[in-house]
Amino acid sequence: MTRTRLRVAGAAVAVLAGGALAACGGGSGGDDSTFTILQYETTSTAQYKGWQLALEMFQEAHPDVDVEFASTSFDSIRSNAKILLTGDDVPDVMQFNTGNADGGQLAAQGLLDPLTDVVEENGWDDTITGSVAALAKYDENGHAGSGDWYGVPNIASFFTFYYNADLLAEHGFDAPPQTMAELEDMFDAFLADGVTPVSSNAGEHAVLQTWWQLVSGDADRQEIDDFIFLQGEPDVTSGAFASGTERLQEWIEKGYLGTQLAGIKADEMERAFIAGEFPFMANGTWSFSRVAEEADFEWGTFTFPGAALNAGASGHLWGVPASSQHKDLAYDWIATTLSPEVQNEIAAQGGIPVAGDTAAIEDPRMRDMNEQFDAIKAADALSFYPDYPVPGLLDFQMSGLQGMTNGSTDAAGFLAGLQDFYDSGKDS
Amino acid sequence: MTATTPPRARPRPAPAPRPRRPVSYWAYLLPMGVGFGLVVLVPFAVNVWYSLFSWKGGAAPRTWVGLENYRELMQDDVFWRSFGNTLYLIGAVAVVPTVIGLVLAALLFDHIGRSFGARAASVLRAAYYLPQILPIAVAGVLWSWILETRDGALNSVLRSLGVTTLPDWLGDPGIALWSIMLMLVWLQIGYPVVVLMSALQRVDPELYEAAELDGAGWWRRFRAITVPHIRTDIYVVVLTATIGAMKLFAPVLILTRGGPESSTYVPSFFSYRNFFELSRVGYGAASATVLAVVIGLVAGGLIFWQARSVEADR
Repeated sequence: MTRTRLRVAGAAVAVLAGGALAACGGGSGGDDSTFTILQYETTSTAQYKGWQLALEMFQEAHPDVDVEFASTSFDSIRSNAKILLTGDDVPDVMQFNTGNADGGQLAAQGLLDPLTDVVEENGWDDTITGSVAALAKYDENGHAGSGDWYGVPNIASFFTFYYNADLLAEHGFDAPPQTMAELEDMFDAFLADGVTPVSSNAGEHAVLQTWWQLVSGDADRQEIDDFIFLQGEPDVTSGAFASGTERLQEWIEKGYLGTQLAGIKADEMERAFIAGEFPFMANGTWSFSRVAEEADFEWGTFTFPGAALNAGASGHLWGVPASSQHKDLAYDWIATTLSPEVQNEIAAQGGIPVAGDTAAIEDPRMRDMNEQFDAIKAADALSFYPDYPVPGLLDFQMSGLQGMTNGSTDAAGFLAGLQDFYDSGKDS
Repeated sequence: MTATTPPRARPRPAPAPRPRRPVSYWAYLLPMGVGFGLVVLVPFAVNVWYSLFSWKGGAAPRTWVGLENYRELMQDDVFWRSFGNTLYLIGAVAVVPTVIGLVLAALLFDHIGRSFGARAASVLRAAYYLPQILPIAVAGVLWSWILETRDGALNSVLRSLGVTTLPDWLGDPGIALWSIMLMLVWLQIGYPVVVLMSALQRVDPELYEAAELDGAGWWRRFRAITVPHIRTDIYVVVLTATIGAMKLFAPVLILTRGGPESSTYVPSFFSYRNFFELSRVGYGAASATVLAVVIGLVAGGLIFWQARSVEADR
């Protein structure tokens, strides 16, 4: 019988209690006879819904297996995965976060099994390739981009513009812009009409990703790979980093993104766009479902015009803990989530599957978004997300960009600090 | 007192139960002692041990670095800033609520209780205490709605009052810590009110009546009778609240995650972040050790101060 449980990992409580944080063991997982799947998606997401179908299919294929589909939160996995996986009672297959700071460390610490042989046997490396596959592989130091496969991605996300077609029409625009110059002209026109063009926030991650998208737009593959995969000696004070950051500063100074951004969080940003207060929202594809459900105006999405690369990544990796007791079942679970049925279900629910059939999607907006991803994938143009290389980079970048939106630092100051943080983090 | 021999003529009383030797009291303390050892002392010792290593956690290798983590900590601006912020939080959790709570408790007990009855005072006391029973996560989410920049409750009220330049409560590094303090004052006031009102029950009402007959006003009675009689309870409130402020974590995590621009870091969040997010287990353990030592010193100092003050009153 399937037992679906909502679990909230309690290990963080140990921090509040003080004391020997690392000494805490335990975690999620069933007994020897139970096959335990641990995941962190919330129930409203496309992938969670897709995995419910996978669960049905898996149980049909393994009627004798007692399956536990356990859930926790994204933050809990980020914070507690190491504790969980060093305990006695680990899940048999689990979802983990992409990047050197997360999955890379789990891999380097021997807490996850290498999956290269399984990936090749199943031919998953035929469908998952290039930048979509890059963050599934980690070397012995936990650096992404090369080495063994430690995870298998199911879905992807990318950064894009949402636009309010009704509001655009009201201000005399009948189509989204084709070039960056056109986009900025539209921004200026809205500002002249007293309307802030872009709903954004720096309290959470929107300005961060806007910055990374502006950098990616000017960057080439090598520049991004050097930074993300810790290759060579990237100079983040020049090249696309400098031009993208300066453009962001220009956007901030002109007021394209609004004011008081550091106090605004993602929910408030989305609500404002959905309420029709802004013509654009620069945000990830993860907001698609909410906008689709709540917006009562004509809308659509378009990627940043003229961008060489696009912020985004495959993610939500399935991995097999080194102490898993049912590894064959774990591989079979991963195979089920990659099956056409499940992948197309994820697409039908508003997600971006890594191995789906875009032509089979009926909703035109969802099909359009998946076509955008297909184009990025075909061009090998995913530039990942900027916090992947070094632990702590996310908070550093967030804080620095909050400084830029508050006017307490500028592009050059932010990049100089970034260079220091990156270099010292890389060496540690 | 001198020992006396009972007169022989009297019947010998039934032998009194032998007084237990003081050592037997330790038996009652044993369970707590074991619990304290297991839950506090052993983990603390392990934490100190980990703080002497460079370690990413999990199955990663541990490298002995001795006191290097402590040396680095002493030079870490963010760590020191987080301790500086703690002083503000002590103000918001221990000082301001205790002062307000003391005045409120005295007003409820002395004025409201007399004029409107004990029940009215109890209802008001419960109302002040309500935030204390809210889970901190709920209180945090509630205040994040209140303090939202664009359409938060507080800014909506200010907007309706005609204020055009609205504060960015959680986004402006000059204001964010004060916003957290505002929430903490709201959260904390009920605690001193409840403790100090029950302390006031012990004060002899005749003292107040006598003072009133002598023409003492409310403020004079408050200063001359109320405060001196419940001084010990005030110490307890200040002590526990100060320790609470120093290890404060959840409101920062929920409202700002240390931002904007690292302006709301506190030591426990610093430890948490190093430990879990940066995978710097030894460094996080070192900061947790320093925090524990500082809390121990402050608590010891406050207890010493209280004991000396009680002694002086005798």
